[in-house]
Amino acid sequence: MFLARVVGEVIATHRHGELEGRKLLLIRRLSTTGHEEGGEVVALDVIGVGVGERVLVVQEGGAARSLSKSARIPAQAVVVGVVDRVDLEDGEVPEEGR
Amino acid sequence: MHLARVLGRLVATVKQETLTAIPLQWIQPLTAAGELAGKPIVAIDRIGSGPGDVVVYITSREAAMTLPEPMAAVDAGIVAKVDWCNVTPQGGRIGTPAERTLDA
Repeated sequence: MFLARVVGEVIATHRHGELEGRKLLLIRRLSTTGHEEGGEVVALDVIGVGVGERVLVVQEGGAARSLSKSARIPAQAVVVGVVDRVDLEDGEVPEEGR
Repeated sequence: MHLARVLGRLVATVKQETLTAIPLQWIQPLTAAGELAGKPIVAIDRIGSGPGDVVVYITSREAAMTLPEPMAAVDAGIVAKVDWCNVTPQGGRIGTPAERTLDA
């Protein structure tokens, strides 16, 4: 699992049947200093999160299948939590000024 | 899962059995800003996309989940055709990666 920021939403009318009716989010991984890094990943939303939120993401096909209650869903990344805070030894991971 | 643009169709007459009659597309991974993100790859396409389309694709074992037969020999598959992406904190519509690239 990793921390990420929801940076957007993917609107796609034409999609694989198993993905019908599911929300697709654009997320970017966060570093330990709270900065976005790397390219965007498309993730399923099973809890209902908004753009700009800091979230917990699981990226594994088996987890995606059990979380979405579908044995055949072609998905890997799933947003499974909204992160309130992260405490480190030398302080908190800063919530970036967005 | 990631974003990519379809570059074109790939035709292969002689294929391994599990790939029979499955369209193959050559796709270029993109960022949401429309910038190139790595090298082009070949993905199976069961939803019917065409050159220029921006798509969402999936890699590794789950790519085979796009097929009726999940034991197929594939490592990338297209799962959705993107209409547009909202990529501002306010959720404002700013167009698809393709449109933005064309604007740039």
